[in-house]
Amino acid sequence: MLLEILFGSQTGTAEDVSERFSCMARSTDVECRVRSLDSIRSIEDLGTYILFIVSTTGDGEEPENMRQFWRIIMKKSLSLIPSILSHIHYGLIGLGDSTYPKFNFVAKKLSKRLEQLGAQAICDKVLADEQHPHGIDGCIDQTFTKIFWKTFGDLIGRELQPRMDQRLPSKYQIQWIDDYEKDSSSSQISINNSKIPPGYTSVPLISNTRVTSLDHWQDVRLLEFDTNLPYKCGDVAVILPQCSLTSVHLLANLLNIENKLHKNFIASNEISSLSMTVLELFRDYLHITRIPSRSFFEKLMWFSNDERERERLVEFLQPENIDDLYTYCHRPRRTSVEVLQDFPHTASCIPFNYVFDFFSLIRPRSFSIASSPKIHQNRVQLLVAIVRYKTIIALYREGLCSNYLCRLQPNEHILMRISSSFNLINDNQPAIMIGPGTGVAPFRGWILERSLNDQLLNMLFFGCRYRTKDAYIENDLLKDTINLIYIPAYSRDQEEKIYVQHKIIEYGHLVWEWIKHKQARIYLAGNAKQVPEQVSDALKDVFIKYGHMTNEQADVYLREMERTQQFQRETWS
Amino acid sequence: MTMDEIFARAKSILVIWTADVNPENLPIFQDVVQTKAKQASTAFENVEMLVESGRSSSSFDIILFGLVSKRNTHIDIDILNELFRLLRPNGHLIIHIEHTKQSQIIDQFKMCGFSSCNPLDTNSSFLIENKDDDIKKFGSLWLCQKPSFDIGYSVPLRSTTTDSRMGQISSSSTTTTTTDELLDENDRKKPDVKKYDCGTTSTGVRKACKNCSCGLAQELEQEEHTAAKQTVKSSCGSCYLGDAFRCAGCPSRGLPPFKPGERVTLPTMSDV
Repeated sequence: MLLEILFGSQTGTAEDVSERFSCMARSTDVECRVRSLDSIRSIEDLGTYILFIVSTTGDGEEPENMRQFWRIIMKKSLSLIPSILSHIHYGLIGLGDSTYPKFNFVAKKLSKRLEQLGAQAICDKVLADEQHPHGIDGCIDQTFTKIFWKTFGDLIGRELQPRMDQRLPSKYQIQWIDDYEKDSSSSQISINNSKIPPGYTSVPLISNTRVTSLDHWQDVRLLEFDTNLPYKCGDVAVILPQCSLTSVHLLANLLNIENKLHKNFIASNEISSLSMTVLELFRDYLHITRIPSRSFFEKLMWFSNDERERERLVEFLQPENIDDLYTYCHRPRRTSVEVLQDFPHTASCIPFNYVFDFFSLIRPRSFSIASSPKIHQNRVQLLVAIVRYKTIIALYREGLCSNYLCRLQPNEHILMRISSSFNLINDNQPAIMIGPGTGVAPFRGWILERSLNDQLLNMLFFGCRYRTKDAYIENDLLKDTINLIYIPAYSRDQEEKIYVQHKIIEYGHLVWEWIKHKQARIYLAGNAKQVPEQVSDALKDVFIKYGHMTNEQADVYLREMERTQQFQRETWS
Repeated sequence: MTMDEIFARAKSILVIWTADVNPENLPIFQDVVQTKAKQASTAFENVEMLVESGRSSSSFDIILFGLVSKRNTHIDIDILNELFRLLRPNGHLIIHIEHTKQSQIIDQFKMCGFSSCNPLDTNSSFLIENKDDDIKKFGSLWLCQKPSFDIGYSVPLRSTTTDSRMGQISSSSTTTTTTDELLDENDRKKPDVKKYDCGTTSTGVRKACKNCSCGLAQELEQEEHTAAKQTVKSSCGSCYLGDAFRCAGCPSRGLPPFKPGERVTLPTMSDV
């Protein structure tokens, strides 16, 4: 009897929750296995007892590691077999953020689909919300956790009492490689010095230039890399960032492992093994500056022997004090390393092999490529907004990857691979591009490339805050040689806020002419939070006014444009 | 193309004038234009009659707007739209604009669909001989071109019947737009954040996003900071321990732990 925990995770949150439920299961002798949903190859792979944990990302989309599963579960032919999934008993946790319009759409759709196919819910699903005062963990524990284990227990005929305070075996066993063993020919596992993950290439930086004015609060960089990796406009560069050495040393210090920083080890279990130095582990592999989830604190309890620290941890973990924990950690965005700083005695008791239980892996980040392979030969350029802000904590909060890129010096190498993303169609149709902020990146290279043919028509709606501070696209695109109708929206240059959607309405009849009579394509790139909805609304307003449509007709028209790829969008959260 | 070439190739030119023009100047202007545009026939229209006269679309290579009169003629979006309609694809509009009104009017040009707008140098001053000196001094001639496409053919809408029955999900379609059919009205509603029962005394709090780039995170931090600064004296004696052990009003809040007795150095924060 096995409980399968299947997750669809984009940034690691769903994976964290899976990990936590797996610990709970193991603590009450429930055999369980945690896998990402892309390990499901066919419907037959689904076992009897499943806990689905699925995030919604971007603009209501399923995470990447769930795409294959999504195609499988949504196949029309499944509905033809009555109650095909009636043997399945499942729980469902949805993770989302209610500030986005398509809140938890993935979980909602999965729930409906599972129901359609006859699967039986163990208990009511939970649609966890980042905006809940106690965040995702708080939301789940409040409405789901207890009732899930109780009902699941009833189902399998056992009383289940999961507890997070008992230490579980660590995920990996550690073997240190002494220097003399490195030369031994009987050594089973070779230490790979270059350690480049499959698919990635090491690529040097040429230049790192700030493109917003110095008196502007936001720091946006144009980074140029030297590489002959093939790409096309619309592709993204996927980058593996590193943690800062400051954080690495701080953690090593707290774990009393500074003297072993440059030592090689092998970490292994039944499924896999890996080997590297401690420095590499903390810098390249584990996300040591992640904001810890509740289970981080639960695991600290496994090792804490200092009275004051234990007492505080117990307090933090009490259900009635969930707000305190949230105020201490999640609201100010305190990192795992910073938490360990506050609990130094506990930290020093954590055995090295448990670091894999405390920290999740660094995930790659994607950036739209802002250059064109035809214009910028052997170059990849990226437009990156550096995430850096203040909370109550003295040190600035920093985005891992954006700050990694910010610190890069010329000739330093990074790990990169190219992935396709936006399908910018290269034919003779005019293009209407909407790209506020760094959303303009894919269009930058593409407009330059399209201008090589002066028969092609281009229109760009660009939004930023101040013409003189962050209209960084103008340097590149406002030239005689570039064939472009450029329509900026400077949101803060006047009293009322003006955004791209206002400009779309203002230039509505031109937009309509291009769509209706020239089969122009519309491309939208930007933040998923408000841009897609506002722009869609603006486009529909244009259809209503100039195309003489009703609300419903405009709705249908836009959806049809999406279906035929005449309207495409790439949004991120 | 140079101005000479533009005029030389033109087959038909429209001159727009206003009521305040000196009538003697019109034929003189026509001569001047005709010398430059040997192949062209020239038509004249009063701006007031422009829309009414309903000339056919795409019928002029060049439109000269308000150049004959001493002062500049007011132009608005409706007139511009009409001029745009009357111009042939690749045709040119020439107009004189005061510097102060420049950006506003150029915006309007773009709105109508003119694909390029460039100021002319004074070699084209033959066109504005009649203008007052101060008008010439504080304005410029502008040359605007209509793009090369022809407006006027339409593309039929594809048929848009959607099957709304649940379960009829196309196996070939993997886009979320199709799976949207699974959702009903209720599903599309967002939760009311204020209604979250947190079971504690916490008040609803605004939270900045993970990747806050709009400034809310800074704003929230300032609020917290102002509140914290109001209590200067520590009341718990645990300042040297980390934030996990400090009280709400602790002056050391936000700093990492330090050795007891060490001087507390608060970072100078210039954000307040």
